[in-house]
Amino acid sequence: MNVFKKLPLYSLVRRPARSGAMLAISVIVAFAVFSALLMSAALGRGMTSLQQRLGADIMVVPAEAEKKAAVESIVLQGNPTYFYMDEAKLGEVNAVEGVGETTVQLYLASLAASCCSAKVQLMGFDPATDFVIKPWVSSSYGKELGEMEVVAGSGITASAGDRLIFYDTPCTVVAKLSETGTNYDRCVFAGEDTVRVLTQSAIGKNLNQFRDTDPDHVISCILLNVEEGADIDQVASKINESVDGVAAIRTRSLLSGTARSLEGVLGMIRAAAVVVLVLGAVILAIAYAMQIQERKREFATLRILGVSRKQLSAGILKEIAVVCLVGGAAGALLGMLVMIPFSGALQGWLNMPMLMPGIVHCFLYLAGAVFLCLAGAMPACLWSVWKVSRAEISDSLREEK
Amino acid sequence: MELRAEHICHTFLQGGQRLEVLKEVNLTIQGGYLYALQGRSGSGKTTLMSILCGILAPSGGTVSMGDTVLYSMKDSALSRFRGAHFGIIPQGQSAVSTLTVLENVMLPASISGSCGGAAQRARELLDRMQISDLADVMPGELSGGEQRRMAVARALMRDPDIIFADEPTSDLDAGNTEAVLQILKEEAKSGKAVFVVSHEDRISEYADVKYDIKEGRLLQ
Repeated sequence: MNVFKKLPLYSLVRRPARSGAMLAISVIVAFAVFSALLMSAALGRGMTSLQQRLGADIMVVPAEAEKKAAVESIVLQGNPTYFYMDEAKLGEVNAVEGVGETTVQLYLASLAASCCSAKVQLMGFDPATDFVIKPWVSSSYGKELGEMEVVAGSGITASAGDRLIFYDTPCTVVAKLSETGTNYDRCVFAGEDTVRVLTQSAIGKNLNQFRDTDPDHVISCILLNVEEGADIDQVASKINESVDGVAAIRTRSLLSGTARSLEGVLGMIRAAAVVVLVLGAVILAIAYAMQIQERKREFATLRILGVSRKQLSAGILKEIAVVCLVGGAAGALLGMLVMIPFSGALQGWLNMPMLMPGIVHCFLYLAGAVFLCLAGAMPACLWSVWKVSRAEISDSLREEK
Repeated sequence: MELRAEHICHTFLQGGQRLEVLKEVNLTIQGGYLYALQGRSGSGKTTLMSILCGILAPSGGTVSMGDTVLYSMKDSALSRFRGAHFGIIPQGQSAVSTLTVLENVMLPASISGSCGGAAQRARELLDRMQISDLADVMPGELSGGEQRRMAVARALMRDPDIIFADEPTSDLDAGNTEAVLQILKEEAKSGKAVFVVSHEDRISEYADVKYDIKEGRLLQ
């Protein structure tokens, strides 16, 4: 048994109160750092996911919808709503120079009433032309969606095979989509024809107002990509100039507000993590300086027994490293236990897209948090370690006699 | 093997003034003798012992053992040399508080990396010090006398050439004083050099060579 090699471990285990205080500081620092890393990643992934889900250069909606910020309501806030325009607008948009592939979507909001299973956003897409929803749906359901078949977002409480009722019309859930961390998780997707049937059912109940438009020939929005080489802003401007009653919104600008808020939140999270990391390092440095001072005689005793300065420094640093590693891992694990189950609540509270990374990535962030904890604490303690290893042995023995 | 200290001088800075505590001290320590160094408080006894045992570089002069000049070595080499050749009993409590008595005694062997049979030897030494029943006790639970005996056992662990003891009997009752001095005397008789710094008058009864320090000079 090599007592000297085990000394750092014994110092930690046999002085639980002393080590506990140091561990607690490391746990707090690692918890904050890990949570910040995970939040940053989740928000970043949520934003990317939202951009992918929008998946088009330009979104053309009724001008009225844009004024009422109904688009943002669906895309960003998750409030079920609807707006309509005549499907003839598709032809007009297609005629605009620079417009490439186009597809239409039809929206319907269900109700929190006896006629509907739940209040959700229903999104109808055209399977023949869709390039936004279909690839995503295909990853969960390989076949074409049949009549009255729907695919539920990950946030909808329904499984494949379940029936959902909208305006007293039953629909079969054929698949559930993977989580996106966006409000699309609380939507139900169906072919345009299915949504049109549901729309007729809603009209039958005197719901969903169409005013002057023919419910059989309405669409909610046109999603389009511009032709290669075409300028997205210029194409959007041309649509706004040449097609009456519509608003062409660049999807990036639709997300710009969210992106700005996201940057602000990320900045705050990162700043808080840096503050905790720096404070933690300072507290650990002070705590270790005090502890090293208190144990000066013990270190001097080791020196008279033949321990070199280098060995002494290595031993103390090993002790600090063990505390940072154990405390760091515990803090990060605690962060994982808190952050992952409450991510939904956090998403709701922040009102931002948020997609938690997979477990492998979570463990990578855990390793990162532990490393940052080590990297913050070790250099902060180096001065005290260097000082005690350089101290005159005879002085240390005399001082504490 | 003998330890030679030649022209040792040492000065301290105290209140901004240089204080010369040792002046041209020359000394040879040989195996088989118990050396006693006495003097009033602050006379430089502990300073001289620290210089001799390789833990305080003198302001002037050399300390050598055979062909080895102590303070010309790098710290790692000097530390190894100190651990291999010297058994040091510092003044007061010197146990590592997070190790048991047995582990404290084994520590010098562990530091040198020669752990084989260390536990057995440590138990024998504790038995010799009559504290074998305290092997698994933490040092904080020991009395002053028991702590001192533990420190003696630890100093003997690597069978050193020279034992340095700084006030090994301070704060001890008559029985413990007698026991500690007797052990040190036995070590000297067995061929080791034993260098004891002490206020204790009784040390004179055990010492083969007695020194006194007055005004920085060593007197025999």
